[in-house]
Amino acid sequence: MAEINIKSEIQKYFKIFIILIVLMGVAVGVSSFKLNLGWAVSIPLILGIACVMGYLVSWQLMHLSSEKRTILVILALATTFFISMILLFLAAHFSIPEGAKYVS
Amino acid sequence: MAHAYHDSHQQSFWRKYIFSTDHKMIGLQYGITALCFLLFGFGLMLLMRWQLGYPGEPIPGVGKFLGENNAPGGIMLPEFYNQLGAMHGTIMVFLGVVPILVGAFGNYIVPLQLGAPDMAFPKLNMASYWVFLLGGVTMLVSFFVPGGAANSGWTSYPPLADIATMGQTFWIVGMVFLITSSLLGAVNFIATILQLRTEGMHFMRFPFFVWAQLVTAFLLLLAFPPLEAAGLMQFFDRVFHTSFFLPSGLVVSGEPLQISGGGSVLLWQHLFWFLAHPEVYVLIVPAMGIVAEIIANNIRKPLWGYKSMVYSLIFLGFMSFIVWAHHMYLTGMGTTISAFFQTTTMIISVPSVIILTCLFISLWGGSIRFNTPMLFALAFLPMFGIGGLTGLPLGLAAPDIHLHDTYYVIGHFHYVVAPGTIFAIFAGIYYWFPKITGRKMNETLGQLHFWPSFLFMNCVFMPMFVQGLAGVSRRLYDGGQQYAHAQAVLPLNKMITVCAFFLALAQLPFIINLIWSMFKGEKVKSDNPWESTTLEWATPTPPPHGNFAKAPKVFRGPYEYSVPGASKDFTPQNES
Amino acid sequence: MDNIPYTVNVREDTGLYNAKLGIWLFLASEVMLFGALFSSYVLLRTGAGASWPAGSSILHVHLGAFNSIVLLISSMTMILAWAALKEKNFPRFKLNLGITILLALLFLGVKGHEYATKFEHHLFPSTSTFMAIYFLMTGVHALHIIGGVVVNSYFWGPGSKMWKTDPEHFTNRIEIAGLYWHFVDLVWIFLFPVLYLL
Repeated sequence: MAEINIKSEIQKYFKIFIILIVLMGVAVGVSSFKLNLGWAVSIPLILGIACVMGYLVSWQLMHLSSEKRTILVILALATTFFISMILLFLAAHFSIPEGAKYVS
Repeated sequence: MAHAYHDSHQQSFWRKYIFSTDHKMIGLQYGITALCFLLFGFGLMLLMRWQLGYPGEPIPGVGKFLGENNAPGGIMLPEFYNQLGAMHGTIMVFLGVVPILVGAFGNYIVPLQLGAPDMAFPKLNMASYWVFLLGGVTMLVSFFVPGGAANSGWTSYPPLADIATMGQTFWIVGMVFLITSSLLGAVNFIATILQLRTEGMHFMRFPFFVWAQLVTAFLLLLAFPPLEAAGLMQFFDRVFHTSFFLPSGLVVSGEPLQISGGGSVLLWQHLFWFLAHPEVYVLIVPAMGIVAEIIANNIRKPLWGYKSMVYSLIFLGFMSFIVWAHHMYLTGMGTTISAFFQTTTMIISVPSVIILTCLFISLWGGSIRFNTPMLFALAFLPMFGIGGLTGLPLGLAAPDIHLHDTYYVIGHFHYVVAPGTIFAIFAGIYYWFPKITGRKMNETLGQLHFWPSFLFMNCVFMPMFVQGLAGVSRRLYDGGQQYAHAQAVLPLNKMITVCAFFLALAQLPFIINLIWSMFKGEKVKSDNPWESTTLEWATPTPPPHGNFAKAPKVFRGPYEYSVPGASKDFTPQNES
Repeated sequence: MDNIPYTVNVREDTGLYNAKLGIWLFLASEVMLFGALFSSYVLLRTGAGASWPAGSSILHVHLGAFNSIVLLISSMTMILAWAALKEKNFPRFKLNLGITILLALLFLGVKGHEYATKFEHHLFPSTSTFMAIYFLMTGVHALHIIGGVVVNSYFWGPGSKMWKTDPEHFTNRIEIAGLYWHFVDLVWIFLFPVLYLL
C-alpha cells in the first residue's frame, strides 16, 4: 500500500468525493420527484444509487479493491448471511396464510 | 521477530492477578468465575426439581431463605418458578458453558497450541473478561429487583417479555454486556489463530481444538449482533414504549395496551433464533475439540479422518446460520419455507455424524488408557449421539408439531449440553489441570465423580423423553399435574428429582478434588505427563509470561502417535 | 508491552498486520448488526403495507441531506489525514483529523436538533413503528459516531505522541480508525435514503 504513489491516490479520492456528492444530489432529486416516477422506478433507483455510493466508499476509500483474500472472504460471509437473513425473514412472513398473520 | 519471550519486569499484585493481560491469567479468571456461575445455575435447577418432584411442599433447608416474595413459608410461588427457569437457562448457557469453553479453555490453551506468546490483542482480552463479569453481575442483581429476575424463559418471547417485570430489562442489559464481551473475544481468537501461529503451523497441522475454536469464533462474531439488535428493540419496547414486537389490539388483563401497535412478534423470534441456533453449536463445537484432543492422546494413535472432521466442522459452521426457523415450525409459517428449513436442518446433522463417527472409528485398534479425562471424553460420544439423534424428530416439521415445547425438547438439548458438553468440560479440566498447576488431580476421586455422574445424568434426562412423548409441556410450574395426558408419566418427576439430587452429590468429589489438588495434588514429574504431541505440553509448567523461551517450530501434524520407527510412542509437533 | 508479532509489520502468508484483520472482523460483525436492523425495517414495513408513512412526510429531508454531505466530507478529510501521515506531513494530519472530528460533532448537533423538533411535535419512538425504527437506527448510528469521535479525539490528542516514537505504528492506527469511520459513513449512505427518501 505504501509503495503506491500517494499523490495519485489523493487525486482519486477527490474524484470519488465529487461523484459521491453528485449521486447524493441525484438521489434526493429522484425522491422529490418520486410521485411522478412511481415507486416501481424510484425505489430501485434510490437504492441503486446507494449501492453505487456504497461500492465507491468500500471498494475505493476503504481499499477493499486491493485488500487481501482473507478479508474479502470474511466480508463475503457476513454479506451472504445478511442477505439470506432478509430473504428468509421475508419468505417466512409471506408464507403465513392471510388470516394467521399477527402483524396488523 | 527474535525477541526474548520472557518478560522480566516485576508486576504489582493488581497487574498480575486482577488486571492481567496475560491470556493464561484471563483464562483462569474466566474459568473460576464461570464455574461459580455453573454451580449457581445448577442450584437454581435443584430448586425447580424440588417443586416438580414435590409440588407445593416447602423446600427443605434453603426454603426459608428465599424470601416471602419467592417462596412464602418455603413453598415456591409460580412466579419464582418462572424466574428460576429463565435464569437457569440463561446462566448455564451464557455465564457458564460458553465462558468456560471459550473464555477459559480457549484463552488458556489456544495460544499455547499455536506456539504463540499470547493472544493478538491482550488488552482487548482483559476488557472482554471484565465486561463479561459486568454482564454476570447484572444478571445476578436482577433477582433482587421488584418482581425478581427475568421470568419469560431464556428465549424472552414477546409479547410476554415486553410487558414482564423489571428483571427482564436487567436481562437485556446483561445480555448486551455479554454479547459485547463475546464479540471482542471472537475478534481476538480469529486474529490470533490466523496471525500468531508459529512457523510450520499450517492450517492442517492445527490441533482439532484450535479448529473448533476458530469456527466457534466465527459463529460468535456473525451470529450475536442480530440478538444485540433484538435486545435493543425489546429494551425500547419496555422502556420507551415502542411497538417493535407488539401487534395492534393487544389486551392485557382486560385492558387494551396503550401502544402504537404495528409490531411483529415473529421478528423477535427470527432475530433471537438467528443467534440462538449458531449458539448451540458454540456450546458443542469446542467440547468436540476438547474430546478430540483427549481421545487422540489416550488411544496412542492418530485421529481417524482428521481432514474429514475439519471440513465437517467448517461446513457445520456455515450451515448453522440457515437452519434457525426449525425452532419456529409452529408459528404458522407455510409448508414451503418449513420444508426449506427442514432440509437445511437434516443436512446439518451430517457433519455432526461425521465428526462423531471419526472419533468412534479412531478408537479401533488404539492402546486405550482409561484415565479420568478419557472416561469423560468417551462418555461424551454416546451421550452426544443420543442428544443428536433425539434432535431429528424435532428437526422434522411433522413430528415437531407433537413434540415442540414438551419435555422431549428438554431431554434432547440437555443430553447434548449436560452429559455432552459438561462432560467434555470435566474432561478438559482433569486433562489440562497438570499443565496449569503442576499437579495431578486425584484419580480415585475422579472415578467417584465420573461413574455416578454418568449414571444419574441418564436417570435424570432419559425419562424426560417419555414425558415429552406423552405431551407434557415444558415450563409448567406444577409439572403438568392439571393435564389428563400427563397423569401416567407424572410419577417420573419424583424419580428425576431424586436422581438430580444424587447427581448433585456426585459433583462433591469433583469440587473437593479440584480445590484439594491445587495445593496437595501429586506433583507431575515432567512438563508433559500425558505424553502428548501438541505444543501446550512443550512449555514449562506452568507456562511463564510469553509462554515459550524461543518461538517453537512445527514440523509435523498434531497427532503423530505410534509413528513407525520412532523411539517413543509419540512424536511432538515441534520435534524435527 | 508484550512481544506480539505483526503489530506493525505484515505476516507474509496473510499479508496483514493484526489490527487490520481485527478491524475488518469487527466491521463484519457490524454488517450483521446493522444488517439485522435493516432486516427488521424491511419486515416491519412489509407487514405494515400501505399504512407505513413516506419518510419525507415526517422527516426533514434537507437536514438529512445536509448531514449526508457533512459525513461524506468527513470521510474525505479522514482519508486525507491518513494520506498526510503517509507523506510524513504531521501538521496536515492534525488539520484533517481535526476537521473530521468537528464535522462529526456537527452531524451530531444536527441530529440532536432533528430529535428535538420531533419531540416538540409529539413524535416519540412510541408514536409509531416508523418513528420507533427511525429513532433506533439513527440512535445506534449516532452512538457509533460518538465512538468514532472518542477514538479520533484520542488520536488527535494524547495518542498522537506515538508519531514521534513509532510513526509507522501510528500511521497504521490512523488507517484502522479511518476504516471504522468510512464504515460509519457507509451505514449512513444506506440509512439516509431508506429512512428519509423512501
